[in-house]
This record gives sequence, C-alpha cells and structure tokens, in this order.
Amino acid sequence: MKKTVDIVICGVGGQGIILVSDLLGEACVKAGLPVTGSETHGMAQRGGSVEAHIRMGGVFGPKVPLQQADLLLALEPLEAARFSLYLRAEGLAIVNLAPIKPITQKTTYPQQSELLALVKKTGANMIADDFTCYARKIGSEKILNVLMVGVASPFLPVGFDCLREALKTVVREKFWKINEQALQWGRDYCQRIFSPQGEQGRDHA
Amino acid sequence: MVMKRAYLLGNHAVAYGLVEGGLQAAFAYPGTPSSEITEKLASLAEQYRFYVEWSINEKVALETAYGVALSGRRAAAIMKHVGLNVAADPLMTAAYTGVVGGLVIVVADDPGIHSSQNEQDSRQYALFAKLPCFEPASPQEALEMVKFSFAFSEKISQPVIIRLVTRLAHGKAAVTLGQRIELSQSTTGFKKEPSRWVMVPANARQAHRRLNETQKVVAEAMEELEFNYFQPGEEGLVIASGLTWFYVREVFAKQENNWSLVKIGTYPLPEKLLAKALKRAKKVLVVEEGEPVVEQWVERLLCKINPGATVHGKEDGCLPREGEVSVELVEKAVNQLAGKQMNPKPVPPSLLPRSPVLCPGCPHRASLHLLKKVFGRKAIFPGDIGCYTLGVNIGAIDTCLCMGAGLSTGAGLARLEPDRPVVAIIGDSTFFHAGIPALINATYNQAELVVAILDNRTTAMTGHQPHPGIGYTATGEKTTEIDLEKLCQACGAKQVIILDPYQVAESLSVLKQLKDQPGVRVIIFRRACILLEKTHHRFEITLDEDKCQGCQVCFYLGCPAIEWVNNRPVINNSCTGCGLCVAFCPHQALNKYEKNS
Repeated sequence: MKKTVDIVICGVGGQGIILVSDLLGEACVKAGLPVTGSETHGMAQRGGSVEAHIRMGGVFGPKVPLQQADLLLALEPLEAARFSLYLRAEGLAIVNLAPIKPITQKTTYPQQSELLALVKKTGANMIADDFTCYARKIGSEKILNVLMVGVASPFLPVGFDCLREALKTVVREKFWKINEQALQWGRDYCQRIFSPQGEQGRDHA
Repeated sequence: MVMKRAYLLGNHAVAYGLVEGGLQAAFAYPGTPSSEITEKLASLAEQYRFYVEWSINEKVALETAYGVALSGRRAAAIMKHVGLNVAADPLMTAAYTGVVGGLVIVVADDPGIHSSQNEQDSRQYALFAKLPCFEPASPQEALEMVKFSFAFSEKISQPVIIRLVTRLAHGKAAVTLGQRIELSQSTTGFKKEPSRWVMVPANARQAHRRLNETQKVVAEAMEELEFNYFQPGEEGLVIASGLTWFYVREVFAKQENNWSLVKIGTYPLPEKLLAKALKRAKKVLVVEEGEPVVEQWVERLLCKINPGATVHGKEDGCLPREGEVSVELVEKAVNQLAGKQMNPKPVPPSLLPRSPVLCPGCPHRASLHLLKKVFGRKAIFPGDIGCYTLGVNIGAIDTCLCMGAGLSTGAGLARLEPDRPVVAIIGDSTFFHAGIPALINATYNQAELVVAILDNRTTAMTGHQPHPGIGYTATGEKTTEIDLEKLCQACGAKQVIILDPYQVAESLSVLKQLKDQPGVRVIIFRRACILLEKTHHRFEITLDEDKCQGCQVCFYLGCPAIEWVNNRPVINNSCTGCGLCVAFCPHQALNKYEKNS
C-alpha cells in the first residue's frame, strides 16, 4: 500500500460524517502519521449531501483530487454514486446500501443497481451491504459511521489500536462501549469477507 | 499549554494561534466559514483568562476590539468575508489611527460560495485600507501566523488582517500546539492623544501621511518573513498564495519537470524576493483563491524588471475567474503551459440532487407557510440571511441580498407597489445584527410593511450561537435579555404581535386581521429551533386513508418527514410531531395524538 491513503467519506447531513473524519484524523495523530483533511459545514449540513476528505499520511492540501481516492466510504448509496468520481481504478468502495431518499424531490430514487454500476464503472473494488441494518442490530443506527470505519480498518495505514484509542478522544464516554462494539463488528465483518473461506470482496453486493 | 499534537480544524488552529499569541479579548459575529474560531475561543476563555463575546454585528465587534487595542491590550475581531463589509467603516479609519495593542482581524472568505451570498476577496480590503494581510497555507501555518501577527501589529502600530478561505477554515490537519505568550503587565492603559485618536480633518490628514509612510516599513518587513519563500528550479515559475501552495506542490510532486516555485503568505508582496524569481522567468503562472490580486501585482513588477515574460492565471483564462482553485485546475494549467496533453477528468454523473432543506419540525416552515397562505400569491416576501433563506424552495422567500436587507428592500418595494402586500422575513439574530435601523427607517418614513421576525431563539444556521435576545453570553453567563416586542414598539411599529407558528388556527386568524391594516406591523413568530427542543414527538401523526384525497398539500409543505408513496403521504421516523401537516390538510385526513396518552 502506498504511503498516503486518500479517503473520501460521503453521505447525508446528520449521518456523523465529521465524526468519521475526526476519528481517522486522531488515529493518525496517535500513530504519528501526518494527516490533512476537509469537511462540509454550514448550509450543506441541513440534510444535504455531505463529503469529508481525509488524507492519512498526507502532506499536501486538504482535498483528495478526482480519481485519486484509495477508499470511498459511502454511508448512503446515492451519495456513493455521486462521489464515485473520486475513486481511483484500483481503489475500494465500501457502500452502505440503505437509501435515504431526498424527500422534497418529486423524482423517484434511482435503482440500486444503477447506482452501484456507477461505482463499479470506476474500476474500483466494492464491498456493499445494508450496514444500517447491522448497526440497528447492535443497538443504534447512529453507530453506522463507526461500524463502517471498522469495515475499512484493515485498509487503513494505522493500527486497529490507534483507531480504538482515537474513538475515546472523539466520542463521549457514555457512548464508548457501543461504538467500540460497532468498530470491532465492522472489522470482523471485513475479515470474514476476505478470509479464505469467505466470499470475495469484489462485487460483494 | 503543553506541546501537544491534535487533528484540528483550521479554525481551531486559528483559535489556538490567538490564544498562544496572548489574546486578551475577542469579538465576533457568527458566519460560515468563521464561526468555529470563536466557539473554540469561548471554550478556552476561562482556562486562559481572556474575554470573548458574540457581538451584535461585525462593525460593533471590530470597534470594540479596536477599543481594547487602544488600551494597549491584544484583541481580535473575527468574521466572515461579507462581515467585513459591515465592519468596513471602522476598518478604513482604524488604519489611519493605528493601534497600540495588537489588533488582529480574522476574515474567512468563501471561494466557491459554499454558504454565502458572494465570493468577494478580503485581500482587496487589506489593499484598500492599506493594512498588512497574512494568508496561511495550512492549519499549522495559520496558528503560527496568527500567533505572530499580534507582535507584528504592535511593531507597526497597525491592525493586521488574516485572510482565511473555506478549505483552510474547514480544512483539517495534525497541528502541533505551543505555549501561550505571557505578556508583561506593564501596559499603561489608554493614553489621551487627540491628535492620534480623534479623526477630525486636521488630524486625519496627518494620519493619512503616517499611514502612507508606514507602507514602506511594512513592505520591508515582509521581505524578512518566512511565510514567503522562493524555491528555485528550472523553466517556468509558479507563484502560489495561501492554501493553493499545497495544490501546486502536489501537482509538481507528480511532474517530471522541476519549475521554480514561490510561496506567498503576505500582503504587501515581498517584491525583492519576487524580483529574484521573476528576473529569469519566461512563463509565470500565478495561482490564488479569489481575484487576481497577486497576478496583477506580478504583472506590474514584470513591466519594470522583465517585460519579456508572460503572466498566466485568471486574466488569460488559464485558471477560472470564479470558484475555488483545486489540484486538478492547477495541473491543467501547468500542463497547458508545458504544452502537454492531459486525460480528460471524469464528468460528475447527473444524479438526483440532494439540496439542503429546513429540518423536520422547523418552526420556520410553519411561519413561512402561514405567511404564504394569508398574504397570497400577489404578496412579495423579501428575505434575509439565515436558515429561513431555504424558504426559497417553498416559494416564501423572494429576495436575499445581505444581512438586514429584507426590511429595507421591502420598504422600497412597498413604496411604489402599494397594491401588493410586502412581507419582509428576517431571523431574530439577523434582526439584531442589521434589522433595527431598517425597522426604524420604515416606521419613521411610514412604510406600508409587514415585518415577520422568525424568532427561533438562536443563530441557527451557523451552529446555534446566542444573541442579545437570548439572555446568555458566548461563555454561557446570564445577561440582560433584550425584549424583541418592546424593542419593535420602541422602533415605532404600530402593532407588534407574538405568535407561536405551531398554533396554526390562531395564527391564521390573527394574520388575517393584520393583513389589511395600515403602517408597519411586526409579527414575532416565537418558537425555538427544533434542534434545540429537547422534547420531540409531542404528537404522533397518523393518516386516515379513507379521507386522504392524494392532494399533496402536505407533501408540498416541504417537510423531510413526509414521503410520497403510492399517491399517499407516509410519515417517516424523522417526524418531530409539530402538527403543521395536520393543520394544513384540507381533508382532515392527517390526525395527531398525544404521544404518552
């Protein structure tokens, strides 16, 4: 894996995307890696699409250039398609399949297959699943963000311990336990997929 | 402050820079992308014993900070770019008088217009006022520059402007924190010196001469600062200011050729340093966020020292005039100048847009629909700056210019269109900021105007900062709560009525009575922002399938909690139970029930 890991995190305002950026950034600090990033505030937060960029090991500007992201962490499928143009051909997309409809639009929500096709067109690998459903089973849809970081964790340039430690910096103490569970669950999930007996990661949709 | 490394927002790095630089008092009005600086300061104020306030507007913030600086203490005024328009009056003359204690004016520009009404460039204000300006390239440099700028301001006896851009303010990086400078307590306080502080014409003429003389000193000082530097190389030359420095570095990290690079972090520009770089250049690419400020400056320099060289950037279309700069745009420009072909970049897929909307249960939605219903299609709704500007999506906001402009624009519209009702819509924080003079002007000059103040008990859009109508300060202390109703009465409004927008029936009947009355009428829609309400789900909303006609009135309220499925509304779990849809349903098909009964 190259030294800098460029990540684009996307989803809908309210899904906890800034927390993911903080978590990954703090993990870099704990691991002694340089890091830069960028996020959306203000107008865009009111239910709009939200993107955060984070460049683990990064020494340049805050934004990931187009077609350069090693990892697209999409908390919503429509947003996965929208931000797929950041992915590089050998990159990896981790996509939550639970849709959030832009309600005030009369147009119908696109077909899942259409959205995933746009992601696949980049040439990147993809892990896609209804992670919201798993998060709910663990206890709350609110931990979807951290659960998906868990899924991404084997591909990050920081140790899992750094992530677990960073979690304590960015999450309030009363939510530590459930978030740690979510992080661990995500990691186990990913390792299941990539274990010799497991299904292959590619097109796991 | 122990040496510590943390993953910080650019704005938080600026806040630490102010604290480390010995800040004694900070003044600000919230505005994206600057608000987090003051929020961070408020959280550090007690620990480091400095004063911080949310001021009523940027003009007052800068003037108050100026007062602190006249007493020999270190002060900061913090605002977004358009806030500096409001503070432009004190800015221009503060440059004439200068200051004693360090005065740092932090201004966050918004290239690309992420959350603003324009993308003006604050560096031009610095040039206009003849004040020095620093522009950081990274959160770490922002911390260093801000920290340094207090001492620099004191050295030259001038306010210093720090120009940020959205990607710096809302960018993040691992930042190393340092120590707070401990100041000696020897400041003598404000010294009476009318020739310096009282800008009557005789004194102002002298002050203008002093300001002009200072320019040379400042220009000379910039040559010494490591915020600018020259990295010699071959062929062409790229000059990059602020954040774009890292875009340029990233592009050249991938390129085989090794152009000369100049990093710009100060205004005035370091002309001697630039002259060294420009002398041997044939092609010069200038990269900067905003207007071609550096570019035009470089063109002027080249005329003197190397007229044969060509300058490329925003003026010849090598880089776009509007919007943000990016790595991709710099790469394209560099390749174009090197005569290299580039693979086309992917075009964004055309997908269902997801625009920002008012939250489920937002009291603004209720207020806006009530006004639309009563005042009708003929009415004009001049709007203002705040969450309620999103009312444009439901046809309830017809204009948005700047803070406070809704009231005055409305008075203008009403003056020569007497047969159309004009309802100016403004938020509580915005009303305090710039609406009060406009309201007085309307009553004094007998405008026919309805003014709707959407009082959601906070400055919501920028992250829920308090304001004079709330009763507590930036640091959470209790304070005088300005009574909006009495204030509007004192401004001369004939009628001032307080309504709860959730009480739809009552509000409708009051508004109908008010509609045809003369003069300035003020309606205060008072209901706290739904994001501050602790008790959601006051009601459970259900649909009576038999009564529903599929008319879509509820759907067009524009509430994210109402989905439209198989020609029927479906209330999803984001519903807060405000009951607006129940009140607006013409067929009584939607019902509400107390949750806990």
